[in-house]
Amino acid sequence: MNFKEKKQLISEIKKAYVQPKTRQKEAFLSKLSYPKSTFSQFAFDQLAFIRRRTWLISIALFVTMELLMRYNNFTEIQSAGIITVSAFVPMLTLVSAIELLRSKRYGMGEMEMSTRFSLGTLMLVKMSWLGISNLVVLMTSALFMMDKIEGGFVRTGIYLIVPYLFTCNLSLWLIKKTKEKECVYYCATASGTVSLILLVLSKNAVWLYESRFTLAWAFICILLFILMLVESIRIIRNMEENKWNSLSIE
Amino acid sequence: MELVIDRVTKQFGNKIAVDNLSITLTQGVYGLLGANGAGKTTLMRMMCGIMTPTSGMIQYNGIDVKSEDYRDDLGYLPQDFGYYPDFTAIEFLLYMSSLKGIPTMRAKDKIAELLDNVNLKSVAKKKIKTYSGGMKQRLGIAQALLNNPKILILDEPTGGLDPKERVKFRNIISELGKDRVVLLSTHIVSDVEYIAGNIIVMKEGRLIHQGARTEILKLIEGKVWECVVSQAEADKLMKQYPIINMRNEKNGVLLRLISSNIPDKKALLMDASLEDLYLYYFSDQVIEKEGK
Repeated sequence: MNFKEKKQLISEIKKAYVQPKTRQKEAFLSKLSYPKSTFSQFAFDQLAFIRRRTWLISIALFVTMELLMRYNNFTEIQSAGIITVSAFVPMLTLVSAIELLRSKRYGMGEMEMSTRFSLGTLMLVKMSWLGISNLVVLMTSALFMMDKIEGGFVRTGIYLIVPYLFTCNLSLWLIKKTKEKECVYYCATASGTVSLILLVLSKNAVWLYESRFTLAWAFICILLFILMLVESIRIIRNMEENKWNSLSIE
Repeated sequence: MELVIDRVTKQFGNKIAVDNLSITLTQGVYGLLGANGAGKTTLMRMMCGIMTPTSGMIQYNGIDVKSEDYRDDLGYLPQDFGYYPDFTAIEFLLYMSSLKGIPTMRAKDKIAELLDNVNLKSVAKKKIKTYSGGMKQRLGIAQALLNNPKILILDEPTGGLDPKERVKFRNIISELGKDRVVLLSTHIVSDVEYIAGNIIVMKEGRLIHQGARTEILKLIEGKVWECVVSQAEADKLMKQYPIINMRNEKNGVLLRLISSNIPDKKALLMDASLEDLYLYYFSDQVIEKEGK
């Protein structure tokens, strides 16, 4: 039987018999087991659920820092420029904190805790993506600004990362300590205060940014990084306790 | 299929929310009844593995409820829950599917089916912040069913649903209860009466009754009376017996009450309902009388 004959036979059969309607298709499909998503699939899926506005604000902050450094005349005191620019860095932390606190703010925690990838895993994934994106923003900024600072990329990077890590630690501590929705406001206050301190430093304590203190800055940077890791792990591990501490009992 | 709760206690400071509770749930629909503060929500949270008991253990087919395998088989609708307001129903369900480990392609088919089941297909692309309370509740029910759970725990699922939606919900749950464990708590006793074959009654953290609906009703069978009396007689009866219901009629006051003996010569013996039992145990008035 050649192809043409086969096609004709199929067409004749279709004419002779009416195809029965599908019955209980959904019930049949629901009984079929399917492979669950892996951790990496889940992590990449979550990228799509981080709000577009979070990425856009991060980019806007990067552009602002870049423009500020480029078009302001900081030549007299070189370090004043980097301090002023670094005053914007806590805002980057705030944007991430707001994203992390969405679950708390909108009361989704209980539902998220009961799923395969529970709230702790979700927080870990979100923290990682936001951390990576912030690091990219800071390192790219350092790359663009390094020619303005003696000591180049590393020193510029450290001056940007230290306020970032400091605000991160402060925000993580606040997330751990404070209840439910008002936490966002505490984090905003903390970020604003750090920014203000940096602006004051840019006018009155530029000497802190002299090259003789570079090692101290590097040490603080490492210390804050370790502290942030410890605090993040603690928060993820105690997710259940933190959640119920702020709820009423029934 | 067996969910075993073995001598579970949950204590918050000095308050014992759940007190040494043991129960085994197998296939079927269970209705959890109890007044506010009886410990229903705490028990449900512990059954979902999201709250750790102070003592005792909860296992499903020998697996601890804290495990990932258990959460794969679990569907949970909390009592008070929120939504990310900027999400549409589809985005929300895709988000929950991702957390439940359901691959996107599979999730899309399931979401379409569930949105149809809960009557949200036409508004699936609208933001959740534009939804009414009942629509949000239906979306919550849909998310609990995404992973085709073998254990379904629903805390006050019918709150906010209109009568038509409640009937549809009851039908869905009755269907689901055929091959899985469904536990639902609600203050709407009629919902439990219609769909739950088994009733669990909790009071002050303790399990006070558990069994088939017909068995539980035997406790007050032959004790539920109705009579129409004058206001003065009604006042007198109210002091003597636990009152289930009182309604003003043209010719006097209609009282529904619990009594082992005939309370009034005009009283008629009525069929006991679950609502009678619930009100008998949990009405403040009754509790006061029991105290006296």
